Formats: sequence, C-alpha cells, structure tokens
Amino acid sequence: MNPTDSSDRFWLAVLTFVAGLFCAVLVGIPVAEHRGLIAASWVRFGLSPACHQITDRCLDLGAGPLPVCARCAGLYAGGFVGLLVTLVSGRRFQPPLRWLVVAATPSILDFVLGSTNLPTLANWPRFVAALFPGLVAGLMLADAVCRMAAPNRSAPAEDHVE
Amino acid sequence: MDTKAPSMLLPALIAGGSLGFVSGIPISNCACCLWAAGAGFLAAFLYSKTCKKAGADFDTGRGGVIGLLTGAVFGVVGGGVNSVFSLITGGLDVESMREAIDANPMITDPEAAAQAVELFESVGPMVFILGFALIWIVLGVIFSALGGLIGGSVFKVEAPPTVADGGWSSNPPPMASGGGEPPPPPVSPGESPREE
Repeated sequence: MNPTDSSDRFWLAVLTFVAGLFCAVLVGIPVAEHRGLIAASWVRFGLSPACHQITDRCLDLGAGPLPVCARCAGLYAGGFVGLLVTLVSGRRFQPPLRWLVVAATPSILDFVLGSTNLPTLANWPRFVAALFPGLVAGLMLADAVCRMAAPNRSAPAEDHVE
Repeated sequence: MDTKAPSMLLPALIAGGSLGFVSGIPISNCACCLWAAGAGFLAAFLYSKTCKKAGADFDTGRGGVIGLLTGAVFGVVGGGVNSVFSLITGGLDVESMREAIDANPMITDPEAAAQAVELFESVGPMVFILGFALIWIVLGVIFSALGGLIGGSVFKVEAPPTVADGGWSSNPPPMASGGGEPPPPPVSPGESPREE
C-alpha cells in the first residue's frame, strides 16, 4: 500500500469526480423524469447500449426505475467507492487479480443461475453482490491511475525492499 | 525501447472485434459495459504477451492507449452487429419503433416517447442507426479504456536492460522483491566456488 502523491491525487480526484457524477446522473434520471424533464429520458435512452434496462431488474428508489439494472448499479457504485477510498485514505491498495475473481464469484453464479432459469437473487442482494467486484475494480483502477500519473516513481518504490 | 514496441492493432482488433460482436447480439446484450471493459482488459493481456516476446515495455499508459483503440473497434463492431440485427428483425420501421417505445415501461414520459417517434420519422432509420452506433462507440471507448488501464497495471512488462555504447542501460529494471538472488561473486582461476 504505497501512499499517493499530489500528482496522483489530482488525477484520482478527477476520475473520482467523474465516477461520482455518473452515479449521481443514474440516480437523478428517474427523479428528473418524475419532474417532467424530457432530457432525462434521452439520457436514459443513451445508456441503453450499456445495459439491458429490464425494468424488473432495476432498483427503484421511489421516483421510478434506475436507467441501469441492479447489477450494473452495484458495479458502478462499488467502482466509485473504490476510487473514493483510495483518494481519501491516500493509500494505494494493490489488489491482485484473484481478488477480483473471488469478489465477482457471487455475481457470476447469480448470472449463471439466471441464464439457466433457476431462482436468482432479488434486486437489492444482486446490487450488494455486484458492489464487491466493483469495489475491487475501483481499487485496481485507482492504482492504475497512480501508476500512470507517476510511472518513474511508482515502479521502483513498490518493488524495492526497504 | 519505444522503437521495439509492437503494433497495438492486432490485439485491439482481436479483443474489440470478438467481444464487440458478442455484445452486439441482442440476446447477449447484458452488462455491455463489462463486455467493453473486458475487451480492453483482454487487449492489454494480449499486448503484454506480444511485448514480452518482443522485449518491449508495457505499462499502464500503454494499457490505456490500447484500451482506447480497442474501444473504438468494439464500438464499431458492436454497433454494426446490433444495427444489422435490428434491420434483420425489422425493428427499424416507424411502426415497430412506436410499438417498442409504447411497450417499454422504462420510458416513463409520454412526451419524450412522442418526441422519439417524431425524431425517428423525420431523420429516418439510417441516421438513427448512426446515432446509436456513435453512442455505442463513446461508451465502448470509455469502458474499454478503463479496462485497458487496469490490464496495463496487472500485466505490466518491463523490458530487459540493453547494452548501449559498451555499458549497461542507465535505467536498469528494479530487482524483484524477495525473488531475485544477487549474482555470484567472481571466482579467480584455481579457486573453487564455495558451496553452501
């Protein structure tokens, strides 16, 4: 867990802001539609290539279904939390790839069960199951951004034994 | 080392083309963002293998670049395949569009639905296809770039040191933690190496 420096944190903050904005848009679309903002429906349509948008599988926070399914919402929210944790803590978590595989296992199982018409998770448990792979992916992404921001510094620092 | 960097085109075409094709099929149109991110990640993996063979560097920045390239391929192929399926299944005439919009409970605003049908009638299906493909490309590029960044971080490759002008490179690779052993001491003639 190497600490981030100022150049890392700037780009990390930018990415975290964009991810947070994206999550806010997802939550805000049904609210905006509920208040009669037509542009929100167009944004919902624009997101259709990113998700199947089946209404029964989307979380409803009160104003209407979200524009992405519960699984996608969990992935996005987890990714945002992963970026935010790295930004706030100032530490670079470097989860190995197997963490991502382990974290994604419940969601993969749920997907397989759903594909074979067996009983699957309800929307909120599905959201929670997807939070974990999203979180690990967010941590990995934050680490990648830190590496990219300062490649010459990060490589020796993480590999040398002090 | 930059001069030895292999072309990114082939991994981008393989990963973006194959996963873009799969995501464009309507029945597999689930978690499309994951297909795109997976394409970037797969392209980074394939490219890291190529770099390892060629003795070239591969880092996070290059992972992001190959992710962008893969996302463009992904978007074009995915959007194209999806459009072809829409044309085959007859989903691009006005009546089919109107029925699809009316039957879609996600479209909660009737005024927006009417606008969509009106727009579809005025511009025609081809412009609609192009617009939809453009959205597909934009989303594909974004998510694939993120996948490529993660892939570049996971599958990082450092080129071996080069001998230049009779000496070692001024930027040798760092020693792996715990894995590498120091080189054996020089042995003078007639002296047998000490056994431990």
